[in-house]
Amino acid sequence: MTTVDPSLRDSSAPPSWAQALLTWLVPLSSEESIPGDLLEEYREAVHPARGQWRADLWYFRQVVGFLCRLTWMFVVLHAAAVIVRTILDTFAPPGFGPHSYQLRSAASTYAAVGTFLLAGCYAGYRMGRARAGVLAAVTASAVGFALALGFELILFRAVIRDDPARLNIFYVTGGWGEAIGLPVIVTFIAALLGALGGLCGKYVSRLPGRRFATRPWV
Amino acid sequence: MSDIPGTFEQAVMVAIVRLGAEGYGRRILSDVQERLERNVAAGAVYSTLDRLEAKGLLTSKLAPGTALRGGRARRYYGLTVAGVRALDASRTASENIWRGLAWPRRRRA
Repeated sequence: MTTVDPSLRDSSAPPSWAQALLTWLVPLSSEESIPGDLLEEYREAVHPARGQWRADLWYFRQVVGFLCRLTWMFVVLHAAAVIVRTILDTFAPPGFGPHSYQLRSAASTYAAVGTFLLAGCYAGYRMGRARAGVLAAVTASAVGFALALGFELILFRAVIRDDPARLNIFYVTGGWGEAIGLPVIVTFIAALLGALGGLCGKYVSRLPGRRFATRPWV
Repeated sequence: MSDIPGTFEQAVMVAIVRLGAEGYGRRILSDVQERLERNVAAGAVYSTLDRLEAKGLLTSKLAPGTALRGGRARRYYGLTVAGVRALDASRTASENIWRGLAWPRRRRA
C-alpha cells in the first residue's frame, strides 16, 4: 500500500476505509495515480462545492463504480445460477427425475465454487493482488444472493404462496431460513475461494510477458 | 480495419491530444465529460486508459505528486505512433461514413 507523508495530508479527506478499499480495486501500476486523482478532485472540486457528507458520498460512488466494473459479470453468473436452481425447485421439484435433487445440489455447488474461483482469479490477475480476488468473490456471492433473493420474493408472492403443494415443498427444502442463512455461510466460503483464485491470478500476472511482469513477487 | 478505436476510446485519446503536457487522469476525465456532455464514471476512463496502454496506443509516465493529492504520484499520458495512426484511421472512417450525405435531412412540407 502507498505510504503518504503525514505532512502532505489535507484536513478534508474521504473516509479512510473507502480510500483503503479503493487501493484494493486499482491495478498495481496505478496504485498511486488513481487514488491521487480522486483525492485531488475530492479536495479541489467536490468537497468545496458539496460539503463533507455529499463529497464522501461522491467518493463512495466512485469506489463502487470500480467494484462494479470488476465484479458485475460474476454477480450476474452467480445470481443466474441461484435463480435457475430456484425455478427448477419450484416448477420441477425434487423427485421429478431419479436423483434430481442430488444432481441439482451438486451442479449448483460446483457452479458457485467455479464462479468464486474465477472471480478471484480474474480480479487477482487484473489488479495484480490477491486481496482484489477476495473482494470480487465476496461481492459476487453477496450481491448475487441479494438479487436472487429479490427474485425469490417475487416468485413466492406470485406462484408459491397460494399453492399448498409448492408451499409445502418450499418449507420442506429449507424455506426462508435457508434463503437468508445460506448466503451468510456461502459468503465466508467465497472469501476463501476468492483468496485462492486471487493468489493464482496474482501469480499469473507476474509471469514473464504478463501484465505485471516487472513487479517483484511479494 | 479492426483496430479502429471506439467512440469512448476516441474521446479519451482526443482529450490526451488536447491536454498535451497536462494530460493526467483527472484532467482527462473532466475533458471527456465535457465533450460527451454526460457524467462519466472515473472507473470507465481509467479502464480505457489501461486498455489503450496495453494495446500500445498510449504511453505513460509518473511524475511527483502534490500536497493536494497526499503526495501521490500523477500519471501523465501521451499517444504513441500507433495511437496517432489509430486516431487518424478513426477520423477517416467517420468522414467516409458521412461523405455525400446531406444531414440533418430536410422535412418535406
